[in-house]
Amino acid sequence: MADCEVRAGTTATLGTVEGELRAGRNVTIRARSGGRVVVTGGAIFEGAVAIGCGFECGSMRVEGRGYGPGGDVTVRGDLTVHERADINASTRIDGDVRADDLDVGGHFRSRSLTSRRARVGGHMTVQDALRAESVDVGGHAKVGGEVDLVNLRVGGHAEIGGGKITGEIKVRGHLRTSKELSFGELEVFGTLRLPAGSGGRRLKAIGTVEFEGDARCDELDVSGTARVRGDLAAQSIEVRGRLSVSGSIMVAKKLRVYGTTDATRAIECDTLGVLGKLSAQRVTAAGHVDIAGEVDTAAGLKAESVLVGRGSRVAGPLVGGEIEVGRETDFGSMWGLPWWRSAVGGTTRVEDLHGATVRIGSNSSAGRVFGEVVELREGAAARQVMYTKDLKLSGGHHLHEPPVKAERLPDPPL
Amino acid sequence: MGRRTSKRSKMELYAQILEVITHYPEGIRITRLSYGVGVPVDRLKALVERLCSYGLVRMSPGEEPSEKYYGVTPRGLEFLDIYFRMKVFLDQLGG
Repeated sequence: MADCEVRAGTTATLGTVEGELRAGRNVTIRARSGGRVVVTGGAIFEGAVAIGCGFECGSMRVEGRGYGPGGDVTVRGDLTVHERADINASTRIDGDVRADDLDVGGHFRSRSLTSRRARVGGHMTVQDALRAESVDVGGHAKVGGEVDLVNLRVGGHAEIGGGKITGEIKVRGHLRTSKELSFGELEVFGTLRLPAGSGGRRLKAIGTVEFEGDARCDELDVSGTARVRGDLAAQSIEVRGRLSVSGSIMVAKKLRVYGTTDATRAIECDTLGVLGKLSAQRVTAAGHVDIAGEVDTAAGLKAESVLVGRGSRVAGPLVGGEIEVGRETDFGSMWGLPWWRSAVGGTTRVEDLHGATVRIGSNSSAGRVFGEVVELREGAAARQVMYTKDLKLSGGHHLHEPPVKAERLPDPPL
Repeated sequence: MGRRTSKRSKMELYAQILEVITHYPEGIRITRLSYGVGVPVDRLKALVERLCSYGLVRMSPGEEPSEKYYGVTPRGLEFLDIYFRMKVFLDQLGG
């Protein structure tokens, strides 16, 4: 037996209810004084309820009988639920909502929301700030103010006013943020639009990502399309789709390109692997570079060592300690990519090479070759060879000009 | 994010039903699901039964005989993942 009962379809004027409140469906509740009703225990509603004031209770349950127009919960003030709010209906709160655990079956709308955990089956609209540990929305989520969350999961589209989400963010649709967003691990299927200065730990873009200024991200995994209107800084980047940067790309560790990557200015990284297509003004790698696709640079590519796989194309000079061109290599096995197939039978084409050791394999053609030790295998071709220590030539090679042994090689372009 | 302007296709409805169910790992009853998806219970029942018959959704009984809780099967999760990935490709290809 409840401490206070309100019959279905009636209007009750209440003050403070000591104990439990039980109400039938389609009830209206008004405040006796102070613009607020307080229930010290649980508040149970069989269905739709219109609360014409603020409401505070220990716990809240709306059983949601009577689906359809008028089947909503409305509160014309703030709603405070000290424990769990289990609302099997759509909910409109004019004021701020505070709860420990908010679970709404239908749509949810409020001015602000603070809850340890919030789950909304339909769409969620919060006009101001949203603070929670985890927010789980089946439909779309729209937050006008800043968010302060650990985890966010949205089944539809999401629009937020910036802030920070330190844990996982998973959005099935589009994600837009009007102000800077700091994120933990972000996975977006649709279009992601982030303002300048946004960044985080890990970003997995399955759809389209647009950074509207400089961007930073520890791990960037692009399966769809990513565009950065500025510079991009990361620890590691993997591109299966298309990455386009209108500035420079700086990668502290590895950059792997299975799709297409282009940067208007420089690319700097530790190690680089290109199975797709990469273009930049210049590329500098502190370690090794594998190329099994196409690389196009205006000023050149410089690395400690460079392997240009058979069938690859490199436009622009290559500079390195050790350069090998035209070797048949199973990059698929090396990189754990079962779908990759080498361009067997294709001619490997590179332009000028500057290295300590330069090896050019069969079916490969180079421009000018400058090296301390140069080796041309059977079927290799070069326009000009200049070396300082040793020249190894196999039968069947082709040189446009006789090789030249020099005391000193010209300075490399990078 | 306002009112829907176009009618959802059956495939979009199936995906939305599955998506809402995934937010309830403990299982969800049809009434609550109807609020989340925005489809009346009677119409929703037929759609959910079809998803059950394809093995994308499983039904388990609750404490009372009339109670039924719905959950997504691994096959349903696989369907959802493929659906959203394909949707991205199709949206991009379609301009």
